[in-house]
Amino acid sequence: MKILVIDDEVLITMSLKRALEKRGHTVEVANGGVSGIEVWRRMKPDMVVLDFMMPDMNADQVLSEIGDRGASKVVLMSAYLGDKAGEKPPSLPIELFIKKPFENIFDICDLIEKAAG
Amino acid sequence: MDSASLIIINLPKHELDFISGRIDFNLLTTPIVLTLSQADIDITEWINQKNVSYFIQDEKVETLDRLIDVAKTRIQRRTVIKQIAEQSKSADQVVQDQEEQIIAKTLDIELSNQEQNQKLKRERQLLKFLKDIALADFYDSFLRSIKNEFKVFHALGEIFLVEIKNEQDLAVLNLKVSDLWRDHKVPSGDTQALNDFMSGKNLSTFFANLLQRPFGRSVSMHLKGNYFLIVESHLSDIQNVPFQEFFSDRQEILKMVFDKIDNEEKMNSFAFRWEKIFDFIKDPIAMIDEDYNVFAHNNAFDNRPELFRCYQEQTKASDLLKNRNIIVGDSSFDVLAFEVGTIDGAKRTFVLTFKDQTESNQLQLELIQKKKMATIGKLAGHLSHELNNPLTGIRSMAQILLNEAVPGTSTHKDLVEIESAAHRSLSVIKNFIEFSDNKNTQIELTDIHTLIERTMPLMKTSLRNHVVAKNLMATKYSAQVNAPLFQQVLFNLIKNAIQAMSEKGRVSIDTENPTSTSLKISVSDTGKGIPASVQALIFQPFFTTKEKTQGNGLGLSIVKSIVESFRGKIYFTSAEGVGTQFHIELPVASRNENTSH
Repeated sequence: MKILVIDDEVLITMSLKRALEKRGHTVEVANGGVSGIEVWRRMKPDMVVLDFMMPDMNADQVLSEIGDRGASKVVLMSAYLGDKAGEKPPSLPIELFIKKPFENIFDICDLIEKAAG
Repeated sequence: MDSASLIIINLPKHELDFISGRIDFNLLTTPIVLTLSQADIDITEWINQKNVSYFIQDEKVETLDRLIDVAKTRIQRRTVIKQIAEQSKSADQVVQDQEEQIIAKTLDIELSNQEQNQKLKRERQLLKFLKDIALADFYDSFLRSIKNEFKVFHALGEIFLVEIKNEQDLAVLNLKVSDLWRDHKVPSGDTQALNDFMSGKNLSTFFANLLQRPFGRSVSMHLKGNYFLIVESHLSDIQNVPFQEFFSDRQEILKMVFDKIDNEEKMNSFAFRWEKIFDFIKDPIAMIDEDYNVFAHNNAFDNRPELFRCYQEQTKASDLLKNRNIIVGDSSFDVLAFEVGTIDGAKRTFVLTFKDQTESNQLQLELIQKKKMATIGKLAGHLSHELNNPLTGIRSMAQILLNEAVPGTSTHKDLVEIESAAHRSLSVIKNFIEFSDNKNTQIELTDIHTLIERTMPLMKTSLRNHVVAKNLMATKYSAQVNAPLFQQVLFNLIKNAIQAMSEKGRVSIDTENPTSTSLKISVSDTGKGIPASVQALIFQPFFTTKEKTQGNGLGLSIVKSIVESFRGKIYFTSAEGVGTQFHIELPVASRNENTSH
């Protein structure tokens, strides 16, 4: 599975990349909305793990910029929205919502894989 | 023959006997001269017997002439003697007259002395009376002095002080009845009461009607305005004369003293009323001079003795007139000063009003505090979210590396430390966010009992090893709080209670109303207690006695902030090895109170 992780926090993209690669996935990372869109278009990932709030743009902006996502599924991460992990913010067409901070990175990896189906 | 000055007899002897038989020469005052031509012894004896002044034997003319001269001289002498006697007699009369006058005058003087003494005595008595009655300071003591003075007249009756208030009402002071004035209605049909009293007529009838008893003779005195002194008298007509005199002698004194007493009473009641008005005012008020001498003040001023000292310390004499604010302990007072008009040369005088601003300042401070907290909350929230991301990254990376590291190596141990440090940091932030989250701080009337009932089941898992006791005894259990926040307070306290007990223990939650306006919620445990050495620190942020994994040190300081934001207070009692009781006291709120702060 080709996975794109977009988050402005390098340590988060680093650890998700490392954990997911360990599970045999192809993982690319981007540390901003603009670069994320660039990689997304080039990579055409099966799964995009997207941080909701980033300094250059927010997830909803990224999603509208991408427009037709093709086969790409989206998991949204945020510290600002929702109360519980797994709760889907109603306004955005996404597979899953993950609340930050994470308790355990491996659980998150499970959730991502599960969302990908 | 009596009127003759000299009698010369020239007769023969037998003729002489005839005369001497008819006239007793001894009875004559006129000198008798007997002339005889021849004499014998018989005639000498006769002469001796018959008181003859002169006896002439020869008939010489010159002898006779000499005799006539002698008679003349004698007559003259007699006249002189007679005159002297008469003069002496009139002199005696003069002396006697004068003596009489002197006696009369002496008597006069004596009489007037007596009169003077009596007058003096009277004056002395009046003076003594004046001295006595001048000591009277109220109507009743005035009457008492009069009664004492008048007791020399035994048949006097009662003494009354009467005030005619209007046509219908009068007040009577009679010591025999009471020391206080009694109100009466003017007896019906009497429309001339004031006139009667003024003229002193018909008063006996008036009093008989008023008191419903026979009334003796009335002696009245108009003291002042509508005030009259009435003395009931049973004196006989004879006794009455000195009494009337006695009474009128004292009239001036009585009027004068009564005027003084009446004025004082009026001044007193006037002053009393003003005093009451000022005492009713809750703001301390004082009148002072420029040297800070207080010479009048109200009760409220009395109740705050430190107030004036602080004012004195914080005010320069030149600033006396300036309105200012002073701090007294925890309170703040606005002092309003205004200058009372002064007489030249006298000290300047000011009236100071101290207005307690503490409450309004307190409200303002609370408002500022709230704004501050909101700002800090926003900042903290923002900061927390900013920290969340890197911390999540650190923790995640640590978890990945831990997974790869060989257990038992020092790298593994280090990674455990990093992971747990990141975890703790995230917990602190989580608490911060919950505390600073202002979305849910709507304060509203909350039923605390229901809130406790709702909270307990949520702690069921944590409490399963302990005995739980609930004694919700308060009868007034509504308070103005934010329910979720207060639930967090309860959570924290119960969690602390559980954590204090390493073995099976007992957690009690009690409520009561220590006063009708406060609600006390207590959470008690039978745990290890709080060591005395740290008791003073437990409400400070980041202070904790717990294991690193158990707490983050924000709990109680946040609990305290939350409780205080609801105008409550939190305190505890603790004994090492016995247990700890946390108490929260909140103001009781009722349904009809304003629900917004």
